[in-house]
Amino acid sequence: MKLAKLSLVAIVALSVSAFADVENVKFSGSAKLFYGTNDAGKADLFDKKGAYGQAAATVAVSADLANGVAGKLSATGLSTLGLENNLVSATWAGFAGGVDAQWWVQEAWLAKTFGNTTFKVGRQELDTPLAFTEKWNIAENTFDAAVLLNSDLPQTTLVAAWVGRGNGTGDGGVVRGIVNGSDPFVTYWKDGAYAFAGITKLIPMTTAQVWYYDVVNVAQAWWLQADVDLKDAVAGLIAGAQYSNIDVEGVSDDASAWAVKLGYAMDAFKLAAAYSSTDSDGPVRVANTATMLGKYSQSKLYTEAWWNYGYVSAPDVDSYMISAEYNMEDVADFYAQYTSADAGNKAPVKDMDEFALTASKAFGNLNTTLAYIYTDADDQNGGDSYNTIQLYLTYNF
Amino acid sequence: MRTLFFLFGMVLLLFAGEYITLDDGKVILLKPDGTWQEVKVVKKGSETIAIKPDGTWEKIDAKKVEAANKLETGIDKKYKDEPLVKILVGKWRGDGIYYEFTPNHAFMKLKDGHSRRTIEGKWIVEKLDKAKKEVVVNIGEGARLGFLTFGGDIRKFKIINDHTIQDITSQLDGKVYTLTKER
Repeated sequence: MKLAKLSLVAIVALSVSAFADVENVKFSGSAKLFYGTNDAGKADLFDKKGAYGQAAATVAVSADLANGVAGKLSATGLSTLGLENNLVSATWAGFAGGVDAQWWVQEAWLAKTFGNTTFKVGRQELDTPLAFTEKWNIAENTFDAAVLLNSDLPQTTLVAAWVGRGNGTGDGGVVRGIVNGSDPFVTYWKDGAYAFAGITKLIPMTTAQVWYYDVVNVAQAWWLQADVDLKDAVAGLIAGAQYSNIDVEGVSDDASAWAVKLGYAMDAFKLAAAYSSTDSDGPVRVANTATMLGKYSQSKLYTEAWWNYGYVSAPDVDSYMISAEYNMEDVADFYAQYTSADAGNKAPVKDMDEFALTASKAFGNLNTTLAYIYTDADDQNGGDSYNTIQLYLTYNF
Repeated sequence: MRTLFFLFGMVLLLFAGEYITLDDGKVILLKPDGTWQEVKVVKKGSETIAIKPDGTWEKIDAKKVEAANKLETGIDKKYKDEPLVKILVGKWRGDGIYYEFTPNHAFMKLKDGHSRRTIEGKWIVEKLDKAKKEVVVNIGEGARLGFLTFGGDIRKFKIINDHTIQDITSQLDGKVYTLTKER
């Protein structure tokens, strides 16, 4: 069964009768400037050789219409602002486009709610365990998809989704670069993908979710997760468990991973610890299919590193992570994370240790984040550790 | 060392009080020990001073003097006295999300990848659904032309009770944030 793709005319026809009663139309956007530098290789910190920088701007218009209709249209542009002349030697996203300015339609969707059912179709962000919009970079990948949500069952949401195209890439830049006006959105893997899920809170204190994916003619996958709020035992205590299995067509061994987490949150203070293990014979990473399960793909496993993606999700890797977060009022938000990935003989990666420390502060609508990352990976920088400093500036309007 | 702990404790007590403006314009100080006293709030240049009846005074942050019953300008007058809207006044924290509502000012901070999305400014109630206990607010808009608004963000809340709300703005993406009120 294949859901029919809706033409632009059909999408407009869906909403034309609702435009008579507009509730609100919001014009908004953001401007970002990201800079990073490291002392890997022969570079020193802040040398042009080891630095990467880029600017991005997103403008959006979102609308809430009567009769349960909503919509959003947004566009994103990337520019180096000439930083490559003096300050940096690389960009953050859209690598294929080089230093040329690039822009594309980021989101263009309509949603209609009928009772307890919502149908959302068009270019949109997704947030599912194995297919999601990665938000760590200066630009985010999106999907041409149709999603059905239903909440007729008590405390339960059922999800059915079809993903036809995406602009994710596995080269570490998250989004495909645009070369000579090319369309960055391509068919999702071979022939698109389906996803089905049930997310329920019927179990006391627990949010349980079961996801099934069919990446057509490529692989089938399961993701099971339970997050428990143990507030009745100890206020602020949470726990979680994950299991995932990816069966790649034509390959006898499956990729699988499991993870557990324990956390404590009290007002502005949070602590968390997690452990994960991946199967030694897995053919692929348990990571984001939107960025091709690649060596730079982010994973939803609890142990995922802050910056060095692709390690904890790789086959034959045991990992642990500890983190602490403190929001100091009127000063800054502080976050620290230590991640250690222990790679076995069959892993496509080597051992990796990462320590990340961040401080974030808002000045009105301008948010600034300063990050320090210590990386010690046997397959990076000739096995020598190195330091990274990053600055994230985001202005929302 | 004992003196240091004593001083630290005294400092904590000093900062643990709250200033509230009553309907009749009087300002009272709510003390941590359960008592209260009326204070006189005066401006000294750019500073706000609370003068206490016991002969002491304290410099306070003007935005921390909250109105007990009435919401100030910035809130849509149609909904300004609605209990569901008044519940929002305060500080709310959830997983990766934080709000601070005062009578005429709002601040939102939302974790966005490695950065945060922050919006600050006046807030207006766009819609109130008493049956569903849902409030739609517009935070930090720069300009308005009828139903067209520019800048800021529109956030939707479901009021669960006095100390729990849900941000259901991204419900279409299956994302619902649960926030609890900070003490």
